[in-house]
Amino acid sequence: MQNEFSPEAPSRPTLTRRSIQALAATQAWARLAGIALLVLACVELALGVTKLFYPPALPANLQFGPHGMLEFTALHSILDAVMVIIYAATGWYALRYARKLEQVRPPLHPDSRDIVVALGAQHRYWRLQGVATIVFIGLSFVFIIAITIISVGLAVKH
Amino acid sequence: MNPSPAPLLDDAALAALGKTRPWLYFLGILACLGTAFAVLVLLIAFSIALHTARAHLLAWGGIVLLLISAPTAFVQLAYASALSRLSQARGAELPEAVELACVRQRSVWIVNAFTVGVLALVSLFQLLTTLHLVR
Repeated sequence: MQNEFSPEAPSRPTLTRRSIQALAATQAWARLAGIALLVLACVELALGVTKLFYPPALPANLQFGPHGMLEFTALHSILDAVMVIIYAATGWYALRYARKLEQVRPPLHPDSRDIVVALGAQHRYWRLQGVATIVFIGLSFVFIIAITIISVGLAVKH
Repeated sequence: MNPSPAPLLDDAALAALGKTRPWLYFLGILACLGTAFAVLVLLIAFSIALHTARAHLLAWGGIVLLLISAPTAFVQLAYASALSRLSQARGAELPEAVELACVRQRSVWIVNAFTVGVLALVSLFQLLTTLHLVR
């Protein structure tokens, strides 16, 4: 059986002082990003609610009529709701990463477990960011296709 | 008093860093595409004389997108390449590769906080404009 002290054990890197300082310095930035993302979620929510009660004026080539306008507003609301969820979730994950980095900051002496927990939280943040980007791109395509279908349908009807 | 030993970066920590790499390459490449799109938008805005209100709006949109996507692409791809180097490093190269990855992840988070802050400010401005128009 291999262990840390056996000659066959693979060499494991230790975190240098500079590495720990870089990780610790990240905490403030991760916290700032998390707070900004939560602010973004609140602003997006307020914008969505405002647009729901006061729909924006559409360009002349996109006049849907009362029925089409309802569909357009519904699509817009879904996209807004998804964006609010994405911003709130990524903000929460960024704040969680910042909290885990607290264990890494000097004068505390982090052990391997603290580093694993912090790096795991960072991995989950970037994974969520990647998935959220895929969802956003997909929804934007659906939104564009839906608007095209509504416009074409109305043009055929007239 | 003995100084506490430096923490080991064990297999689980290396695995967490390794799993982060493909997402950073993905996001970095998307940010590169965003940069190219921003440049295209700016070229279009400047080619159709900037005195129209729509061209002005297009130019501002392009500038904001460029401010967000160009530094994001740079730091994310730099961090992803540092993680690639870390996965290939052996023996004595490992501590240096870990250090590089830690320093670059800090840069990624600085730019991330900056871009999200810019986005939050732009959204806040949009909300204020909408509320002003509603009133």
